[in-house]
Amino acid sequence: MKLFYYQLKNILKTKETVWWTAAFPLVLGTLFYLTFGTANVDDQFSKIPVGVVWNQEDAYFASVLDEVEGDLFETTDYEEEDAKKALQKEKIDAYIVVGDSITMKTMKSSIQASIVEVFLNEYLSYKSAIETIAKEHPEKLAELVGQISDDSKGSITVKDDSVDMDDYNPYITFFYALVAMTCLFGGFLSQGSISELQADQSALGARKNIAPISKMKLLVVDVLTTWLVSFTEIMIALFYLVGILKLNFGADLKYMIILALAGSYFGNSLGIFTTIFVKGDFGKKNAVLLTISLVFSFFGGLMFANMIDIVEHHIPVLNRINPAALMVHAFQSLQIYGDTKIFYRNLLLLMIFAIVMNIASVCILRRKRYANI
Amino acid sequence: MEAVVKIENLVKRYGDLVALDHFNLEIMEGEVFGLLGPNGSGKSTTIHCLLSLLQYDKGDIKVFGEEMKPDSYHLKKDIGVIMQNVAVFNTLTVEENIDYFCGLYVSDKEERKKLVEEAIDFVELKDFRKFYPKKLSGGLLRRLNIACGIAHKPKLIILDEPTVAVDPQSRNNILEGIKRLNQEGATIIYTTHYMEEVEQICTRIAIMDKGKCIAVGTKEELKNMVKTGETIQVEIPSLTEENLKEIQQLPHTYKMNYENGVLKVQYTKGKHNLIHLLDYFREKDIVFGRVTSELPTLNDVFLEITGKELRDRS
Repeated sequence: MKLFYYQLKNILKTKETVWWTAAFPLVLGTLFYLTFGTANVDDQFSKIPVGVVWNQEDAYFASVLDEVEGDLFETTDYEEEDAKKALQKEKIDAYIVVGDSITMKTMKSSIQASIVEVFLNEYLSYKSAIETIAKEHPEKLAELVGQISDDSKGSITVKDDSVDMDDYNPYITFFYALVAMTCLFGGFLSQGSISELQADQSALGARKNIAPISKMKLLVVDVLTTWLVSFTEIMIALFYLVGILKLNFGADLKYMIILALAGSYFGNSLGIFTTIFVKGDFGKKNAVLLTISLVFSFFGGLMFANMIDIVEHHIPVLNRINPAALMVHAFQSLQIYGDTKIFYRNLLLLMIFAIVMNIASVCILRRKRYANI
Repeated sequence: MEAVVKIENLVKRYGDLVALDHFNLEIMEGEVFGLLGPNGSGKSTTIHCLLSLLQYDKGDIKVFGEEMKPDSYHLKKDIGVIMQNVAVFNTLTVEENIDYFCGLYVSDKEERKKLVEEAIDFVELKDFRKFYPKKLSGGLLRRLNIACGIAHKPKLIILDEPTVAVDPQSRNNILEGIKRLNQEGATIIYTTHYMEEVEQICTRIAIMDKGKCIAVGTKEELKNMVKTGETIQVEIPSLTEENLKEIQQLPHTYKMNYENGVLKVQYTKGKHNLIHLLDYFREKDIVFGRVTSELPTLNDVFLEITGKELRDRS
């Protein structure tokens, strides 16, 4: 416990680190808020204009579209050529072609187009259930459609309170990316701790290595303290953004806590990883971590809200490995789609990356002797 | 007496550079053992290998009769180390620093509290216990560094150049403290390139150069190893060639040099060298000025063996 207490004090009294990990995100968040945090009056989310090309009848799909008409979509029926023209003239964000299969066409990447895509994917995944019920228990079909519409099944409608399109702020992505950046910046806390554990990095590291205590025990204490501090800082940032600036993150407190835990653990792991695997002095390791964090945050939408969508349409694999994008997308999945599956999937990916980094780091840290001190 | 430390045939290379070249050392219980050598001779490398911090290419290292390994915690708990670089937390007070490091060795709270108090008393930092390291002077910081290394009352204490960049008064305090630790039962290994320090406190000394131990023994034994005995310097305005030849013939005269009005005569062993020289000057009516006599130093030992000075002259 004493070790934990002293390590905690050591971290909290390191002013430069606390500035980057705690104060800087709050300052940046305030600047974002002043710039466009309340700009949701004119940019309020409006129903997505979607064209529908009925190449053949599909009663089931038609009934599902009826469910979302007016809430999520404003649908207009077209012939295919007219739909293409409407798309080019940006009268619609996308059009759906209903034929032997149901497909979507769009011209540019955008959140609206992504919503249509998710809607279709959800429908297609329930389609077989709809067809089976319609054949065997047609009297239950209406109930099924209603159930699918029910948010508790993670459905495609937007009647759920957690996805309130009237309050949707398209600039909220910047704040999601800011929270992601805060998670990544937690790596600075662990960088400092880990360098004080390595004999070839600091005199403190040498002294600790000489002591009759397992390095793993010291590492666990360091990881727990930095994780705790990082998690607390993220929660403070979230409280500030949601509680004081009154931004609508579209997520319950429990999801914010879960994301903060996973995000801070990842940031922690990234800090340890860069300390161990980047050769050179501490300043260089710091610079590398800063660069990595900012690059991830940039591609997670810190400067351009559409960045994730742009990457998704050109190099989608980048979004799967960018921790900032994973966290932003996790938030978006709750805010826009009301989908916890994507939320948990992304956080699971984040944890997997963190664990892989930890395993690699421990393999090196366990090294008992150094080639050079 | 048991050997507390035994190093046999130790070899450590950094690429092509051989830092330790079949280095051997044995340190007995209760000694204050000095490891003396110029910068780059391998002193710190020896200490790091001894503590299992550094990989080495060949050799055996035993501490308290057992092979020293990185996870030899039962050996490490009886070792205290004071490194050349100050290793304390700038974010913890003096008392907290000592408590932290003592806590790595002693888990019992009450015992640790007592040890921390004793350590603070020992290094005379009572008035500074709530200070942060940044507020301490260089000498006080070194004392804190020492306290952190010895608070747990180790049986073997290793000090790696602990007085670098320290003022003379603090240096004396440190050296006196080391003597007290030894009197309390600790075996001390002290590395330095300052011969005055080893001459002051060490019971036995090993002289190192280029990764090898070139001489080991007590001060007297080391000085007896070399030809050089007493060195006498006399200020004399003028001396003839004949005078110089005659002085060269005086008993025990080993080397002689007359430059800029100063006669320097080095003798091998033997007593009354000064009397013989002064008698000669009186016989020949040679006028002389200031006279100094120096006993051989470890620097003379090092110089005679290696042809170099212990400390670089800039």
